[in-house]
Amino acid sequence: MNIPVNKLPPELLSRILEHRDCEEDLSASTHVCQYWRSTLTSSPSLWSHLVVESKRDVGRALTYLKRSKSAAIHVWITIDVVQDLDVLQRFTPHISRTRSFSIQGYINVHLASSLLLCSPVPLLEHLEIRAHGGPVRNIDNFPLPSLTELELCLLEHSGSIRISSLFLLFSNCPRLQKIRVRIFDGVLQDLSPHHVTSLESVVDLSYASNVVEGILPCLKLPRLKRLR
Amino acid sequence: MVLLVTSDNKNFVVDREVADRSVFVKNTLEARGLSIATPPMLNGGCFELTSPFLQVLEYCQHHRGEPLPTTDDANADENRKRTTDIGEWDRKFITVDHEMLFEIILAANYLDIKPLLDVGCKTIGNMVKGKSPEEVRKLFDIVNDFTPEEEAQIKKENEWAEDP
Repeated sequence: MNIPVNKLPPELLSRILEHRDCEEDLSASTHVCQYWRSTLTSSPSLWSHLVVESKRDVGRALTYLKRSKSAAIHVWITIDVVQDLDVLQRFTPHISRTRSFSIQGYINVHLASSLLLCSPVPLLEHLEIRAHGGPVRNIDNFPLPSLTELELCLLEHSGSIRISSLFLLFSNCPRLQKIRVRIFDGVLQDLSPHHVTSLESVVDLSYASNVVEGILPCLKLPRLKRLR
Repeated sequence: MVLLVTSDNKNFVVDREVADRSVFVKNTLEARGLSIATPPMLNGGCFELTSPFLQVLEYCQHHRGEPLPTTDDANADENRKRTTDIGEWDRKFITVDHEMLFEIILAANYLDIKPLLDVGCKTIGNMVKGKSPEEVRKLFDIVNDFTPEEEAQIKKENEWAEDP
């Protein structure tokens, strides 16, 4: 411990590795010596950002899930095969400590959301679903008490989404501030012309959908500052 | 003006605006209503204090008057942690030998000067960037104290890390 760098207490050594450009630097650092390894593997926040871009990344993600212990996590998953829901199942037990979740690829949105949001998500602040194809029957509605940002991008999907279900999803997010919606086809307008849904906290709404534009009068947005 | 006394009894008279870059000094002065702060830092003889303290003062003088980072914005804190950029002046300032770099980091941590602590940590983070464990050991003169069995176990545990 008379080595200069190892005079740094554990919390500072961890802090150094918080500033990193790539995850390989973190894993390489756990191989340096006993002190670095025990310090870094005992710092849950270092392991809180999980990126899965292919099946090859799953092993790394599982190690991160283990080392992040009970820390809040941020998850980015890209799935290219709709049947590849077993990857999602690995995250299901940790959804209650997930702060941001982004999933993109050829996704069965209904199944994916059912699987992920089957238990309470008290910490979830950011949810991004970018489905580049895949069947859409509907979007299940779950209470998302902390959600502030929602991005829903559904392209080239089969099936249709009811606007009423979309509105219900928004309504279940009492702290929602920012909504981005891109849906180009398969939207079923099932609201009555007199329907009004009030979204009290939304300040930023952007959309790319003719149908969504058509039902804007059905949304009451008292705090809206930005509409695109 | 504020008189700062280090643990090795060196006196430094600085503008209040400069002293306030240290949250520790700022809080101490505000709590006591005094103009004298004595950071009892690292008086266990870990290192000679005056030298890093001069560097820290230089940093505080350069950045005087800039807004202090707030502690209540979790997202800003998250973004701060995930960046490795260092400003030009800070980069030149922190171009010192390893011993001094570690002492500045320890002093910034004790005095609670988060931007300086970040500069120091990012600097070491950038040194580690892209290096193998062996290269990191060589850089910082660290002895590999893993047993062959432990090394084999680590390699097995982290096979994902060696994927192309």
